[in-house]
This record gives sequence, C-alpha cells and structure tokens, in this order.
Amino acid sequence: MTILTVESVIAWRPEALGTAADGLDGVATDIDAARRRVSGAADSLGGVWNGPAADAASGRISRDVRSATQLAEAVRSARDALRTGSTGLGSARTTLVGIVNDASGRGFRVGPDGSVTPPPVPPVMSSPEAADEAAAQFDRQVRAVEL
Amino acid sequence: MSGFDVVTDALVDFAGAVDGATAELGSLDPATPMAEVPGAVPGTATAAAAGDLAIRLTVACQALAETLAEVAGAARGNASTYGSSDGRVSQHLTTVGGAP
Repeated sequence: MTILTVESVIAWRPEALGTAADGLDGVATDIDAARRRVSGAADSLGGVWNGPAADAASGRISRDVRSATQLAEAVRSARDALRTGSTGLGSARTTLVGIVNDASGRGFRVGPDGSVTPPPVPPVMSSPEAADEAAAQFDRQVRAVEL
Repeated sequence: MSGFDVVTDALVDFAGAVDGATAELGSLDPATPMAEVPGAVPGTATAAAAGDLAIRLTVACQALAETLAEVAGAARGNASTYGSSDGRVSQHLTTVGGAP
C-alpha cells in the first residue's frame, strides 16, 4: 500500500466504488438467474428419472445450487462493502477538502504530506529590532503624504 | 424400489438447460466492474482488497461454471448410456434363438 498524501486523497473518486457496486449487483442477479435455471431443470427431472444414479445426481445438483446461492451472497456482500466504502471514503475526502480549503483561506499552506506552513508574519512581529525600522518607515510615508 | 426409471429425452433437456446456465456463469466477469476501484482510491486498503476480491470472485464463477458443465456432461452421458444399453438389450432379445 502506498503512503497516503493530501493530494492523493483529494484525487480520490469514491463514486467509482458505487459504480462498481452496481456492476456487482448485476453479476449477483445473473448468478441467481443461472441458479434458478439449474434448479428448475432439476425439478423437471422428478418423476422421469429415478434410481441410484438419479439420487446421486440430485445430491450433486443440490450442492451446486447451494454453491451458486453462496456465490451470489458473496458478490452481494462485496457490493455492500463497496457502497459503504464509497460513502465512507467520500465523507473522508469531503472533510479533508474542507479542512485544506479553510486553512488555505486563512493563508496557511497545506503540503502534500499534510504539513501546514503558517502565513508569513510582518517582521515587526518576529523581531523587536524591526519595530524601530517599521516605525521609521511609517513616519517617512506620513511625511511624504504631508509634503 | 431397487430398479430405475428414466426418460432419456428429459435427461438431454436437463443437460441443455444446465449448459445454458453454465454459459451464463462462464460469461460473468466480476473483475470488470471492480477494475476501476484500485485506481479510484489509490493508497487505501480498499484498493488492494478490491483487486484480490475481483480475482477470487471471477475464479469462483468459473469454477461453478465448470462444475455445472460436468453435471450437464454426466446427464448427457447417462442418457446416451441408457439409450445404447436399451438398444443393445433390445437387439439381443430380438436375435435370441436366431434372427427372425
């Protein structure tokens, strides 16, 4: 598994999981149709095929029909997991996009690795000696306006 | 009942129906709808699991199709065996004691 980054999460397409889930739903429906076809055909043998071979075949067909039922259930479980994943991952992506946008709007920069860099602060706030220069610059600007 | 009853045409019909189901199952490809999942959510456990599951489900569909194909083949084979046995016995009975 690759390392998740902010960029990769934002690039997620969770809706693709929902599309895949719909595709699996169709697969499960087709398996059920095939199972019903076999089951119906087996039922039609009742009364026209009796004996040890028929009994053995009946047991075999019953097992295969059960296998088909279980396979359809497994496909539907995968379908449900994909739908849940689509919702969950979509929610996580939406939350992350909101956080990144909020931070960006406040002047912060969010890096691909999730690190956050604050906006640059005026020198007057970061070094006391810059305050004198800031005051002098302000005075010069005021005088320029007054002249 | 110690004997058996069989309508061979019904066995052949059964084999045909199972053949149809086999073809349906054999054409199923769960991997196709799941193909986009790994690329849609890269870096997640979901992506890795989807790839594995797609293979497993496809293999399971193929295995079930093959099993049903065997059932159809057995039914068709039984119908043929019943038919040929009946034919041989019939011929034997009609030739017992010399041809008419």
